[in-house]
Amino acid sequence: MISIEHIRKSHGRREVLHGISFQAQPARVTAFLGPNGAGKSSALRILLGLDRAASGLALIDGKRYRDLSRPMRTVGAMFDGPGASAGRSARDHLRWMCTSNGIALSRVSEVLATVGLEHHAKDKVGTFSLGMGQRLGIASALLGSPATLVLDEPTNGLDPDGLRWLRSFLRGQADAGHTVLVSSHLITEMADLADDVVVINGGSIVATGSVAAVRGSRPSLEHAFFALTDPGLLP
Amino acid sequence: MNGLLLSAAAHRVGVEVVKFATTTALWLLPVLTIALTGSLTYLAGLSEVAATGGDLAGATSATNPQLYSAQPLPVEYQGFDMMNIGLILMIALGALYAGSEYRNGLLRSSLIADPHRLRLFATRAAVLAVVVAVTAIVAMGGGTVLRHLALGDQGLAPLAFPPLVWRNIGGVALTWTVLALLAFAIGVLARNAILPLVVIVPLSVGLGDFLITLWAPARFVPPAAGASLYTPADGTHLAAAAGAIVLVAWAGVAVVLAGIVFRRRDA
Repeated sequence: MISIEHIRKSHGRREVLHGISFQAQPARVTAFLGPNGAGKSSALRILLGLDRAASGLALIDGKRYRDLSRPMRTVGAMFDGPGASAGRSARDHLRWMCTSNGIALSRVSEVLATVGLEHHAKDKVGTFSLGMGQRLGIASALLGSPATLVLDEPTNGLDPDGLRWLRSFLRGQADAGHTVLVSSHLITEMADLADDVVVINGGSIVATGSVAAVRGSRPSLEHAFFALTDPGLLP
Repeated sequence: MNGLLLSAAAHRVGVEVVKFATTTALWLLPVLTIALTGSLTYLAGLSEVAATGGDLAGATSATNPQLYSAQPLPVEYQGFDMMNIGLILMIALGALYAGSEYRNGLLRSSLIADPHRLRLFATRAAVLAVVVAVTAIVAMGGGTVLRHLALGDQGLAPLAFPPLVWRNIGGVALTWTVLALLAFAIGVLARNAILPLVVIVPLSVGLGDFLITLWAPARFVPPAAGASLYTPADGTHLAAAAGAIVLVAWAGVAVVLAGIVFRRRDA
């Protein structure tokens, strides 16, 4: 389970997260939705220990990320883009990541096949398209066969095929009892996939709950999203 | 428990070794350093023998206009005239090694793989120091042997080098390692490879020695601070022991400062 408790974060004088709290439960896909700049990435970066919160706690199964030993075996994390040197091959990038967490090197070809990059293992990451970079990012998250996935905007740049694959893959992960937290600014992509929704706007959580609960009486999750984040956009 | 700790440390070092081996610039620079300094040191020895007509100890610029130095170089100091080439390449290595993490979001992956920042930073600094020191010993040790072979009967027997030659080789290794660590630390602070190159390279191509003629405290600035570790004492540079201490202090302060910032800063 992922638990965010009263996280505050400022960039300079501007507070970008105003004490947010939410949870992502095991066996469910939790969509973390909000417009660009709402604070999604900031919150996920704090969860993964990349950024430091001014106050609050971000816990994965009750522990801070930095207190996990061999963290990639517990949490699979993916941020926008591959996070790999342009001059290194996809395979070499995944190899050092395996080495760092004592993961068998045989996982490299397995995860490359899972995300459909098996024929690009030796290609330099710099030659990858946006979508291939996203697939490599997802592959690196899967290396340690983690029971928790934290994916920041994984659908960016994915082609329709990739999008369909990602949806069924994440569904399968949740059905296997894993915790899946996935951020997006595209509500329609998440409406069919998510079990739970956390909506963030302007650094504050404006709604949490099951898809049905957040939608309420509105015709779609998208309507509900705009009503929550920018009522002016509604007809 | 000890075995587990040891294997975790081995994993951390292994990660950086894989990163080195799979980044062309990172492994090419040490190879280039060894090849360039070795061959140039040998060729310079041949040309010196030719220029002096074989009388190395008796030749000076007064008696032979082809020579630069007013005094013959003591034979123990033969072979270190190419050290600046390697020095600049090792500075580039430190800068690139630091800067590479700040391109393409690599640092994010490194911290996801190992969120213990201080440990990660220390491992990287240590791996860099070992790579540079080993490169220096191979490049300068090999180069010095080649130089004395080139000098023929004017040179020393490679198997019977006096301690001063080894001190000089060690002095070059220390200077290269310190400057590479300085470049690395500045690269981490600046989050790129450019600033360390702009700051450190000019000091290493003679600016430091030039400053000393204008302002005595410039003696304490690397790499000039370590000059007596591989060139004959000249009265303007720091003595060898003092130079070594000053160099180590520079590297220590820079690495500690960069480590503190690296630990605290958002990635």
